[in-house]
Amino acid sequence: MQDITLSELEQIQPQALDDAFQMDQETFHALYERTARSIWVYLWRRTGDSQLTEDLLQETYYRFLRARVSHESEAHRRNYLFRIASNLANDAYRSHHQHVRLPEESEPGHPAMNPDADMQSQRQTDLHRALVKLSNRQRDALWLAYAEGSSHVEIAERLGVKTSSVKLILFRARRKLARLLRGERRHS
Amino acid sequence: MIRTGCEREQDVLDAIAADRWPDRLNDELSTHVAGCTICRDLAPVAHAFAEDGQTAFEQVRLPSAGLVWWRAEIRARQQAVRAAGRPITFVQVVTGACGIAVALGLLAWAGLGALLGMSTRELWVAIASQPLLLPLFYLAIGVLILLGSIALYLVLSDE
Repeated sequence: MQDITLSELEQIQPQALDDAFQMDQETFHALYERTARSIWVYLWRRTGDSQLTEDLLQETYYRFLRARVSHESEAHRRNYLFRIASNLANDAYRSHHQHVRLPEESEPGHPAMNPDADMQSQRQTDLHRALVKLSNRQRDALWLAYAEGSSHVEIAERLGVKTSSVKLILFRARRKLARLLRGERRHS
Repeated sequence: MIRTGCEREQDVLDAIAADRWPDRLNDELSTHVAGCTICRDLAPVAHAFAEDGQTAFEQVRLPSAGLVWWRAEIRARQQAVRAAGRPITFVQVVTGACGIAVALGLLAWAGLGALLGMSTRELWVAIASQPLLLPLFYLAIGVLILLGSIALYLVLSDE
């Protein structure tokens, strides 16, 4: 890869960057404050890796800024961001050929680190074990519906499926996960 | 036909959001959940995700908006520099390839003349008088330019 010096970078006119991004810095900051937490959590749940999550978050916003797409509404903008994040997470999954990694019990923030929450910790460990057996689409749909509280229309836009399909995807995913959770709890 | 939804789903979700699941559910809803296959699956799944989401949101470690913008800006500048440099590289390659082709052509021409014991003018007259040789001559020049371009590309390209 060709090295680029700082002076070369400085020669690029600021106007060129304004044209390169679809919004100015102030608008971006406001959008980031409204959306970044959800996207971080979504990516973290998909990858189980904080560093990879930060890289993918950066890439998500970079691609969003460079995209020449007009957004009708805030919801459309959010859904577009989630679509980018979802595609990046899928690519990362494929390129690393990795299964979704369960967060280690020693990781900060893992439920097991909170001794007062044994029951909750056990439930969450069961959930993570069971989720590995679901498809990416099923996991995403369940997460968006029940952790994010998204509507079927929003889920459809984010997953790139028809709204009428969301109900069936959720039904199948719920049924499979509920059976797996009942199995996990019987074992534990 | 398989039932994929229940009209009481929202009541179950509301109860979970209000932290009334599973112990403080009212009797009527509790009885419904026990008897409804949809809500029986929905309740534990939605509850598990609500808990998991809450835990996940508590541990978010977000880079600042300023940092994300700055990194994006640097990357956009790098791409702009590369894009600006691309036509120059193309012109350099074509010019260099033509130069190499001319040099190789002159060498081949002189070599061929010496081999056949002809002057350059006699050699050109001989080639031009043969209808089959002239296209071959132009083809040889084209091949030289192509090979020169590839060679230059390989030398200049660092990727």
